[in-house]
Amino acid sequence: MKRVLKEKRGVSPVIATVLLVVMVIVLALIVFLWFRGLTKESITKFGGTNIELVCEDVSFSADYTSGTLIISNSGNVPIFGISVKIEKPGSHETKEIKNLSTRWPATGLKQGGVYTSEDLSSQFSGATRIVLIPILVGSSENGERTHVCEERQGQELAL
Amino acid sequence: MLIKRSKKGVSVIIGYVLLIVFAMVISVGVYAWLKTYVPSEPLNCPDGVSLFLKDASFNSSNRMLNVTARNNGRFDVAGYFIHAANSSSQNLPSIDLSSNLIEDSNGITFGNSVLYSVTGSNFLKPGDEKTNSFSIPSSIGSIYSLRVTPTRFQEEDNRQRFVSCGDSRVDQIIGAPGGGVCSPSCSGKVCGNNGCGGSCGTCGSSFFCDASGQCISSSCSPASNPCGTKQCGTATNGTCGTVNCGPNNGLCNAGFTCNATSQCVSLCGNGAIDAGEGCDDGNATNGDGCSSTCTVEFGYTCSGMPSACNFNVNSCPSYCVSLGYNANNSGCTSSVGTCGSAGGLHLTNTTQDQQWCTGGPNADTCCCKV
Repeated sequence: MKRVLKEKRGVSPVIATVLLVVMVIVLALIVFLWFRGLTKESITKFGGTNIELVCEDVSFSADYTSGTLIISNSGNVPIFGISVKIEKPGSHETKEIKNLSTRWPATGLKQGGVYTSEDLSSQFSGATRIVLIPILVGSSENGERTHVCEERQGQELAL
Repeated sequence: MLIKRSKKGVSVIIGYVLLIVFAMVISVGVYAWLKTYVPSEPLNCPDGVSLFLKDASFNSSNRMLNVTARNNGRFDVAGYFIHAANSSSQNLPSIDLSSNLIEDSNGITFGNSVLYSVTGSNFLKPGDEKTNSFSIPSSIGSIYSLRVTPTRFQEEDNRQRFVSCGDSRVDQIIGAPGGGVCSPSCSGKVCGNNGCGGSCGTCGSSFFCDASGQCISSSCSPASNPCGTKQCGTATNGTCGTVNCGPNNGLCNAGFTCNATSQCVSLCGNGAIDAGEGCDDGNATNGDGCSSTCTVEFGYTCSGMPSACNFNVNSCPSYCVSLGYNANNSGCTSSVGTCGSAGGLHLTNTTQDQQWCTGGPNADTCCCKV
């Protein structure tokens, strides 16, 4: 009787439990790696603050008069670049300011910095709305990365 | 009995331990992912910082801009960013004037800002006021308006950080010398600039506007080289009236004077502090605190006539460190050093290659003069 009962078990309860635990760990690892691939790479600035939060602290003034664009960094967050969203009837395009103007400083606009463009009237010709969106640079696991802030954190130019 | 014990894979205790370990591992993972989203206090000036432009006037004849600022707030102020517009059509002042500051005991140029003290502290107390002078080059033209943004040094994580008080910035239209709002003047002029960014009129198609605001016939006979070797003053321009000579429209730069032969001669080295000079120690030697161009050299304080200059230790403001730069007299350079535990001044090679601690003894950051 005792021998028959033993033969009905494939593996002992201990081995079964160990197997279950190992399988759960392996599955959890697989799910973790898959989930990490789905989430965005975390970019931080100023000692670990997520760059999306730093975007909220960006402060700048902008003016566009007679083809000249002036941007003044009035806050304490260096602005590495500007993404210029140019809306025209039926279409829109987004360009980085360093591709529009040769005068944009290579290291960006630091505290108190002011940028004055050359004549951009040909670039902005026909635009019905222009939005300037700040681009910041931060750190990630893979080195320095740029981050384009959200459009609501930008400024619309008065045309 | 043996069969009943074997039905349990692991004991209840081990089960609990495993559960707790799993929970802790998952918690650590979630924390590592979410910790960057924990908001921290942004680096901002406190409410109550206020810098009032008591007087700001531009003298177009000697091209001197005088700015008197008063601390009207509740907090000490370190200095300010200053930008100008040279036309009423320019809504946002964009011309950085900090490099045109005449450095003296009231202020020094630091990066793209002006500091009230070479020690890099919040020097201007509530209720105090100081006047700074700027020598405006003729290439800028007239000064129509100013934007002044106060700055402060604030401690964060045991470091002095340089902070721009953007919410406390002041915009002001420039007054004429002596104060008041800029009064346009077209006296004796029929064309050209009215001194406040406006126009006194335009000339007809066959005329041009000369430097004195007169319409001159385009068909007049100008002299081939009316100024010759003159660096300043005026010269007769054939039948086309007179012209101002030199690159500064007949004037000399601050610190120079136009002599009888229309040459700009330096006033630096005569022992007296003339317009445009921050000091004058009676010589034209660099490295003694008063430079060969009569500006106060970085790290020095000068007073008296002839100027007596003293060397200040620990005078590197934290501004450049906060930007990841170092400070020197002409701007910022890009290497950052580390001070030893003794703090203070660290001599390495020569007096031109020194490290300056920002926080005194035991400071952990410094900036290097290269």
